[in-house]
Amino acid sequence: MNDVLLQEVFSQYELPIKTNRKLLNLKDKKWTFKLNPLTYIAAGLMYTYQNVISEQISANCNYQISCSEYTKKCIEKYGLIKGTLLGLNQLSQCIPNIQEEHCEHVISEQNKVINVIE
Amino acid sequence: MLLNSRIIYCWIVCMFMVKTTFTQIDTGFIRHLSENQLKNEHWTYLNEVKIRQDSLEYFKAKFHLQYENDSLFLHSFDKSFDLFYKDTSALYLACLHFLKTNSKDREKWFGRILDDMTVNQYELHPIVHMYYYSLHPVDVDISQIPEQLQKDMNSYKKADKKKPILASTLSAIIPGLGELYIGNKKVFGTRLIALGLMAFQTVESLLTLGFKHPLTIIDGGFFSAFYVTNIVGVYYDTKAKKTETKNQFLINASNYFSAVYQYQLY
Repeated sequence: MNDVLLQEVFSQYELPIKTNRKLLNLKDKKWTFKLNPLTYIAAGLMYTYQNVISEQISANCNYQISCSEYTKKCIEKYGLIKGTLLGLNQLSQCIPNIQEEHCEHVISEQNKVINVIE
Repeated sequence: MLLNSRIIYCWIVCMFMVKTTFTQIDTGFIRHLSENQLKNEHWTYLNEVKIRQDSLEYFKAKFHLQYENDSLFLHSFDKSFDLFYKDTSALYLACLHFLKTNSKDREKWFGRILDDMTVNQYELHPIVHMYYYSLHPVDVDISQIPEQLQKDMNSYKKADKKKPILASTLSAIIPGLGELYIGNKKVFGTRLIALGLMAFQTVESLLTLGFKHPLTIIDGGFFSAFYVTNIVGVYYDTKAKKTETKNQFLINASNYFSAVYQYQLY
């Protein structure tokens, strides 16, 4: 009974479940991508930020796919140069109330901008 | 007498044969399953019932339409084309669904509809027109569009006129100006201030510390990265804005027409 009560009272304060993030997804990639050390450095920086810094500063991104995750996925998809540029582009747009400059259908229920890697 | 009993036996045998080959589908039961969102039961019933192949595909198409499985819907629709095409309400609901679906299936669907649409299906005409308008927004006469959708059409027309190359060029001249050109005022302000500060920092490092100092290189590197991002990013932003306003127009059109004719799937 006590457990149920405790669960009911404190459930709202539970921390969100930590998502299992990978360093890089190397499936179906070219050998040039797999052997490029700069790709690993860039993805490693993002990975370190996500697992160490982001939690410490309780970062709250305005985008559904957070800026670091978006950069990592763009690097995976487009390569280092274009991926980094697209990531930086999102980062420079991640400002308070950016939702006002987007259409209604790209705003999620959590008031975050739905961004898709096309 | 003997002949009569033989005929009766033959009838009984024939009835059993017919019974095992085709059964009558219970549309009332399907309506009940659909209304109560009993997805698994609905699918099991469709797989168990033995009816003609085109009828079965027709019901499967409706099932996939309800649960928004576009590729399977199109597959079943192709197999039950004649039957599905006679069902105006299902056709109308499918048009409304694809109007707000942002995928290649939308092009496929409206491609089929535009080829085969008859003059009698007058309910479909405004929806198909909306899709056509979204493809060629420049030619649209705004007075032909319902009043509730004119605002969305105007913003789509405005976004469609913007050229990505021009936006990039403007951003290269003054950082963030391309964003102002496509209508993102906040991003313009942020980029102008951020890049201005970075440029100021780089110049200061250059004058005080010299060209070869590591801090100057770091400052210059940051400034260069964000400056190039500002030029390249606005190119993609212009295209994204175009798609975004187009989809918003089509979603609102779909919502508007679903309120005009309130059709039921079953």
